[in-house]
Amino acid sequence: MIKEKETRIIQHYFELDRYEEAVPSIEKLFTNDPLDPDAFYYMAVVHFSKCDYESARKMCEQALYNGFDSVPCYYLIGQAYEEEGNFQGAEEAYLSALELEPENGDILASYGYLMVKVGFEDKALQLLEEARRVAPSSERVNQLILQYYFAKSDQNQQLLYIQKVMESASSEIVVLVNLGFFHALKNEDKAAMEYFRQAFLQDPTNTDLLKILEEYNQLTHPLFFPQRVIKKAGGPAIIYTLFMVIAILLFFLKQYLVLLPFAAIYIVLCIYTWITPFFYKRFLNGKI
Amino acid sequence: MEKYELYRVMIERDPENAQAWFLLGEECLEQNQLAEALNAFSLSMKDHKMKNLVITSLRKYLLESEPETVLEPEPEPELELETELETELEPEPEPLPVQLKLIQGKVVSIEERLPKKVTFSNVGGLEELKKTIDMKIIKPFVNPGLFAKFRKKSGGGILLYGPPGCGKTFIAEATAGECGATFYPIQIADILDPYFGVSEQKLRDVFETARANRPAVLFFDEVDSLGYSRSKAHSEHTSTLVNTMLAEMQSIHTGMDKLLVIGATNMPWDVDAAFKRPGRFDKLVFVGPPDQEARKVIFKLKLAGKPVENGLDLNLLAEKTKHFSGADIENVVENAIENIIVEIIENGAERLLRMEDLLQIIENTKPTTVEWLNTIKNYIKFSNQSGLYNDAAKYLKENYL
Amino acid sequence: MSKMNALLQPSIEKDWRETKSYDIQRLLWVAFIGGPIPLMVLGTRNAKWLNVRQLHINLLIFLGIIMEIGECAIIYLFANGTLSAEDRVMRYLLKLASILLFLGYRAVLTKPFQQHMVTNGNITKILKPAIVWILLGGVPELIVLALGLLG
Repeated sequence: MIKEKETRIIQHYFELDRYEEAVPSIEKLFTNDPLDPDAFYYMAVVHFSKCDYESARKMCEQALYNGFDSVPCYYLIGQAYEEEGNFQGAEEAYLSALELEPENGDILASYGYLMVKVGFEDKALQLLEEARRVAPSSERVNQLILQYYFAKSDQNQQLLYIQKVMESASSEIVVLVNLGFFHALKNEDKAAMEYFRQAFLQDPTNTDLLKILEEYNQLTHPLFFPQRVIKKAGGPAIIYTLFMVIAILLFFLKQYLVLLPFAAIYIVLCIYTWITPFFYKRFLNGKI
Repeated sequence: MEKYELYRVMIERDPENAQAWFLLGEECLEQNQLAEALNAFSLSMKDHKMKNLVITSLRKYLLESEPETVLEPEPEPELELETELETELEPEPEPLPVQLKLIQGKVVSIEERLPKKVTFSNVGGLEELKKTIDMKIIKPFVNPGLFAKFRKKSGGGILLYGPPGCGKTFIAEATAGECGATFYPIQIADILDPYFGVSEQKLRDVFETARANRPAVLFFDEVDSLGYSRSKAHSEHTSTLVNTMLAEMQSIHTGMDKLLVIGATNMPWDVDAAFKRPGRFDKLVFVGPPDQEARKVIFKLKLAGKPVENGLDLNLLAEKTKHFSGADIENVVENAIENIIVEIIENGAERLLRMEDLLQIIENTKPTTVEWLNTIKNYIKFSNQSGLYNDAAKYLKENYL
Repeated sequence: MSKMNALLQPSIEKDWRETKSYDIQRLLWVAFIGGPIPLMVLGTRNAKWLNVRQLHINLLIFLGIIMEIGECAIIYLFANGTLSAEDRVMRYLLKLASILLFLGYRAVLTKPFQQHMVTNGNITKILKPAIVWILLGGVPELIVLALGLLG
């Protein structure tokens, strides 16, 4: 009974993404049975959530040794290796899991996305398509396919898969973050900021989101309007090129009266774009 | 309860109706709601003719309740016989050379064994918070009549939020004490059950038990893990729990039912938005880090009974521990004691805890509330002035930024 | 099933390496201050890290070399007095050419850079290699200048 009760509490905290709060219950499982394979697996998940991937792998290996279901163990080991940057180890673990369960959509998609990372794009696409075939309504599968299209800058597919993730996602934050990225990749800063803001308000402890939001907060500040115009026009290089071409033309046409204020405006604009970030950081950042 | 409602309607129609107030008082006495009864009687005594009736009614109530506490039970005849026999058989004991003194006192009563009732007098400092809770919670709870008169809804629970370790549970317990209500603390582990539907049933039972033992304060610690936002949860289990709790809370009318629900959380943003609507946790109260006066009291309490040097400057300690939570202060004292023990073991020379020991630890300790305060600061910054956490924003502006 | 079997064979070899990238917008400063040589070196390095097609890399190197030769020729003409030192337009045109070369690199790198940012997200710092290559890039131009002045 202890085991069932503590397991329920652990699973409850896992559903809430509060992995560390499950630790006291996991410890109770260990007290109850020091070789409990479930406890080892749960502990592995906790370590994984804390980015302690080596411990996560070790715990998972122990869970596997003590008789825990092999597929989730290999899958978690694969994910830990992937986070550590050991893509060969990750591939080996994913393949071990897929050997036992070749029609597991989540693992197929994870392996497919790993192939995107390492540059085997044909294989990646085939694996992601296979994952979609076997698990069309899996949140993880749709999310990884969406990330593939984010990477490939394919906006039509991005929209399609954002829709699919919205249908399959259990959490609103995932949808909001995806929409944020969609607009960010289209350089639509204000829309991106709004989605990231809403996502952040759902989870203000998310430091990654905070970092993104701080950047967008700066980008979308009225002070940075000229920078936004420059970005829309193609960046400082394009503006410089345009300026130079026009300036040289005016020079050859001997239109010095126009050239001088034109050059002055450009120089002022340059200085403005250099000093505004410092001004923002000094006087505006962090104000509520 | 029907009579109660009837008298209430009468009072609502004519608040000056002294007889209705008297009848309401009598009804409350029958329900054992002494505080409310006294309130009703005092209002009925505005008409001097009612004075005698009130006194008679109260006397009757006291006489009815007295036998349990005042009157001693008649000694049983068998026991008397036995005593007589014993006295006959046993010879008189010889007087002892030294006269033993009768130990003054009485048999330990169960009351002494029960946990002591906590009230605001046990909470040091935090005057503003106490005042807020008094106005927002205790007054409507103890004196619903006034609120009924102005048709002010006194229902709904309160949500205490703030950094961890700042005494939300203690404040809730003290609130219950002030309301003269039984305190029922509920943890997530009390509710969760591995079997389908049992968790929801347990939750309903908790409310039922509290209703049966009113006046009561039902306190949900870490309410965010029980009432977790449904839009963020990864499973249906969480949603059914939230729905059950919402339904239970919706059916409570705090003033009438004499049942108050208090939730405490470090993560108010994780609590489902439906809980923050009127009729549920419609009052959000910020329990921030203790103020200077409270920190002084905490130091005093934590250092009590410890081998400390005379003349410790509690004011200075409180001054140096801005933003420290109660738990942080406890940690400071514990660490200082630990250091002394190590020193004594190493040097063999015993000494008392000195001011410098504490100050040194304080200097090397970062208050744990800072992370939370930063999080709420960022939340407020990006929430486009939703106004939900205004009191936290006020605290930040006055003390943190 | 055989297609599936083929898919479930290991593909990553031991000498596999992760993609890397500088912030490609920073290459603008390299082009602006340093000219074609540092831009070619750092841009080509970045393109290789991001597995850009060799053809595109070679094309940009070719353009860069032509630009560098042009620049050296102009510096030589300045040095031996054929072109007037007051002729600022020529200098501006040289700068413009470098910026255009940067736009070429940016065009080739943008998509792989976005893929790298989505799948990896790490940016390699450019400051130190940029300073080193800007200084080294100035050496041939100094030599040409010296030759022009002496000749």
